[in-house]
Amino acid sequence: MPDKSIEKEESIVSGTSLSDAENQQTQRLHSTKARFATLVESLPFDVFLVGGDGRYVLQNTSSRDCWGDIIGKRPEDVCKDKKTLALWQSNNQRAFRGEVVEEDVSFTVKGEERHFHNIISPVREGKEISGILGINIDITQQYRVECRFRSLVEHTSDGVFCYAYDPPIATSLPIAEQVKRLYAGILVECNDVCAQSYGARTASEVIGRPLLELFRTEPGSLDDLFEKMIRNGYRTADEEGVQVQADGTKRYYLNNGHGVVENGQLVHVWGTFRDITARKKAERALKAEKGFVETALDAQTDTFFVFDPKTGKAIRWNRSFNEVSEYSDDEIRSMRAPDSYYSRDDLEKAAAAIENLGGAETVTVELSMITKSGKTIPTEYVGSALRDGKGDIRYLIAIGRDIAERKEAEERARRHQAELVHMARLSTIGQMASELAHELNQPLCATLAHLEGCLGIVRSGRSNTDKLIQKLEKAIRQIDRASHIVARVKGFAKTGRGKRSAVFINQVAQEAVDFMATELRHNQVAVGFSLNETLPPVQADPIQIEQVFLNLIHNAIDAMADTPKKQRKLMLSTSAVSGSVDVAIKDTGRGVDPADAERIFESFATTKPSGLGVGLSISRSIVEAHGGRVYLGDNSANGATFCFTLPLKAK
Amino acid sequence: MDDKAIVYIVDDDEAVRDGIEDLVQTMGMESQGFASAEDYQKAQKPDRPSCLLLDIRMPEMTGMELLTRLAAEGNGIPTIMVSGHGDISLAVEAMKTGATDFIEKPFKEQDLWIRIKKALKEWEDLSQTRAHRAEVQDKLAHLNAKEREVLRLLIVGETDKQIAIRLGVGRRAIAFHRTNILDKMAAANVVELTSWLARLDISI
Repeated sequence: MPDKSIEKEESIVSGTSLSDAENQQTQRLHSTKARFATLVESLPFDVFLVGGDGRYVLQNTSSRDCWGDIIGKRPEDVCKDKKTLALWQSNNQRAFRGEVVEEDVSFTVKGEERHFHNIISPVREGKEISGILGINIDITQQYRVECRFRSLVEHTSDGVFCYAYDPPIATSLPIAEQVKRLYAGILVECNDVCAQSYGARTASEVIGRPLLELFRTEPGSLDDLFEKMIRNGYRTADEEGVQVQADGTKRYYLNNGHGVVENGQLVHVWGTFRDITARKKAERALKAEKGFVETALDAQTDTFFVFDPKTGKAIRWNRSFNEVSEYSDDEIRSMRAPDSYYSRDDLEKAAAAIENLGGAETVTVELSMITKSGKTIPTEYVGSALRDGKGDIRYLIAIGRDIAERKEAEERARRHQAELVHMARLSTIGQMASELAHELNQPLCATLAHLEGCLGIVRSGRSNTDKLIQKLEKAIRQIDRASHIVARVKGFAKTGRGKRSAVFINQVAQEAVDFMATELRHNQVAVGFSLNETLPPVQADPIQIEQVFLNLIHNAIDAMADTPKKQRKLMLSTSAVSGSVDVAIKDTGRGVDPADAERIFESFATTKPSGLGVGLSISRSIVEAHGGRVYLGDNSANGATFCFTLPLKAK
Repeated sequence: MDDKAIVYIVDDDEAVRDGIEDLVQTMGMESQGFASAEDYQKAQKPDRPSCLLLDIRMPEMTGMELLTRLAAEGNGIPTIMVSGHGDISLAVEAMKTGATDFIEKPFKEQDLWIRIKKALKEWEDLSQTRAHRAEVQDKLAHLNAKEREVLRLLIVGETDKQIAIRLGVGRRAIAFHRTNILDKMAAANVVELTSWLARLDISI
């Protein structure tokens, strides 16, 4: 359109000699020309005219704003940018050769790159080209928008495409027909992502090629997709599709399409797609994983149980849970967890354990599950929580292990330990038998003496009642003394049940020393104590711990056999060390030969001529059963210190 | 026995000591108890018929140690070792060391009485021996040097002739000395005198 008007103006501007008869018309023409000139002046784009000599002869306001006053100048005078100038000159020359040049060009104007739709056409005088008329429409704004759009299309990870239909498909056609025609699309627009899905590298390799070729498919294969699109108002939303690749592998896509309908005819189908093959694979893997986990859970002998603590509803459980509880899936679904499975006491324990979960990752609790048939299964549960976004407990997971066997083993070990201790005690009594006999002899001897004395008095006939009473009382006191000794031995020999209670170590130490008093006295061993009076109690079996003391004291006495009597000294000390109580038993004996130090705690290892070599090993076994340890502390030719520790919190 | 016999009791167990002390008293003797061997050693003991009931096992100085020490000091006293259970080997050793007897706890009055009697008899014998020894030694002190020399040779069995030659004197002189010796010593003959000296363990 502008071409023609400018041609008109051109004829006006160039002018011709006019006849008088035409003056009036000329006048009108002049006024028209003036209006026209005003119009050109005020056009929002550059208009310019270049004369035959290549100099500008005309420019409008827009042009002047952009380039300054260029009348009478040549392009090279006006444009300082070499690239722009070269383009100008080349386009101008083309127009001078009779070509109408129309293209989008980028010019650097005042240092800024601007984009123009540039049209230059030759101005002819007769057959001669006397000049060229050009317009520059500034499209920088649109260009930039388009660039951004392009960039978006180019850089999105989704594939973007546009198929064109020529001839267009009338939307009034039967759907089947429309579907058939949709296969005839030609790719007119796409990004590299899309091109790559077609097996090419860049968009330019695939643009212009037909849909069927790009999809490597036959008509009919996409019927469902196309029909869905048509029925959906020429749109598809998140439609999954499969495409067979050049190498035969399948790729999965999520498609979004939009048909452009103009005048009842479908002309373009725009679309985007996303490669979801990886996601699909992950989903499949997840599904397989889920199956795997399921199988693994069911194969477990441990029970697995997930429930909602708010509603008590069972969420998941494994086969083992069915087997142990004896309930069917349906029954479990209808039951309330954990209430239906435990005694009241256990439920309190469970509640306390759940409470503890507040701060811990997992919590361990021993409960006895009551099965459908009423059996009680001692079970150790490891509980953990699944939490929601706010960190509140959503579900509880309980993994339970039948510990009946372990319980039994523990009980066996405990009994075994108790028997061992009992034997050790009997052996201690054996070692002390002669001491005990001697000790018992004393009151017996005294009693007998008093009674014989009484007899003597009575026989003599010089009955002295006071004297008799006095002697009989003395005899009774001695009998009492003897029975105390017997009671003590009996009490000592009784089997410990292995029962743990809160034990004050100092008290046990004192009792052990009391028990050994006779032996200590006869061996003239002085006993010293250095007891920490503020020791907290430990959870222990007092009889077993006493046995450890007895064994160590006994050893200490033996070790001091060759020590001069005046130097025989036994020192018992107790102290508290972070989380445990430490006991040290120090003697002034010959010490332990360093060569023996390694093996003295082993069974049947003895350095004594008459010893079974079980004392230290039993002591070790007892202390370790309590979670502590026995060791040889200071050791020299001037004495040895045997130590043991007991943790405040029993194992 | 003019003086009442006294029985010393050494035992570290007060009740036992007390019981035995009383018992001994009901037997009609005096008794005195000591809690330790040291106490016994330190105590003044009158010259009266006496014996010692000594506990073998005691802290500090044991009965065995005291027994050995008393013998070494020449303060021997008839001693009955009192042993507890299982101390037989110690008792045997004590007998070898010179103990009169031993008794095992607990014991009956009768058993104790027999042993105390035996011990007091021994004390009596010991006392007589001591007296005799003192008497013999006293008499020996009255011999002059020559007589002593002759006696020394006589008791080893040399004849008058041998002695005369050895001493370079006449046989009659020897006979004279012998008569004087027997006279002074109040012995019937040399054989009796020799047996006294041997029994009383007196060397000239």
